[in-house]
Amino acid sequence: MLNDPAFIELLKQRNEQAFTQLVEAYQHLVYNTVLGIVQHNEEAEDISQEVFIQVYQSIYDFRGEAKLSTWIYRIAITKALDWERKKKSKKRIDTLKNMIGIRTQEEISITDFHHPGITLQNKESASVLFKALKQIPDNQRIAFVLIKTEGLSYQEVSDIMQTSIKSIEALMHRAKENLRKILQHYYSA
Amino acid sequence: MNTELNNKIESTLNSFNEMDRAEVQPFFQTRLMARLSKEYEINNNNWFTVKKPVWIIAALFVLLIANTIMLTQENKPANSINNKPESILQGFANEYNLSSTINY
Repeated sequence: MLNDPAFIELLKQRNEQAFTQLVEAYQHLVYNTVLGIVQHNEEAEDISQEVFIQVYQSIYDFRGEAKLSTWIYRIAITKALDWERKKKSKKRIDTLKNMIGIRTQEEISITDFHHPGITLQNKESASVLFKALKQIPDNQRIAFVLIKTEGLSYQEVSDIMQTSIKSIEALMHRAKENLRKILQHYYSA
Repeated sequence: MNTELNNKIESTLNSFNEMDRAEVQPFFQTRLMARLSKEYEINNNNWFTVKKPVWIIAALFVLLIANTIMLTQENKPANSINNKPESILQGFANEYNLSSTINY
């Protein structure tokens, strides 16, 4: 129903009821995806809001070539990665400021991230895995997050990342290899 | 690599296997709609926000025409008697019934 051209047309006409329905249907999908990437609850909510604002503004660009959910996943991933880049550059500036003696008001806290959907018995190991995920390349991390936290199939991830299933398989293989190396180093230390 | 370490790594890699999807906090939609309407209010109140480049081009074109007209008018020779400063001042005096004569 959400991929129905009539529903898309209503969204393009800025129909509030249709937009409410869209948010209702995709809010958890967006939030969970963003949270898997940024690993911060409050910031994930902020970014999720930005995702829906972007959807509202860019719905005219949606041509229906992909599923609506695929298009929303792409916006969510782009927004989350943009946020990360901004945070990294801010961190670099803050480090520089600290080096030259200017105190920054906002310190970036390095804390363990606990995903709310993780079972209690996996809490500690999942936190270690989230930390390791931050150290692998973006495309490997995105593939891993979508498959493992969103439970998507290789086909769905290949549609979202606009690449072949073979490439996704290769990305997952490399992601696991890299994670194994990082975890080995972590547990051996 | 020993087996214990291997098992630990594999178990960590599989720690996402039984996870549930994280859900937004209650009233997410209310907060989103408030933010959306606020952003649109700001954009609508901004008089200097030009939404389409075509308006910028049109405005520049109008300015260019206005300037061209002004320049061509300025360069025209002022040969009419009515354009002389004395006659302009005299006309002004007559219009306001000023009795005093203007001397230069």
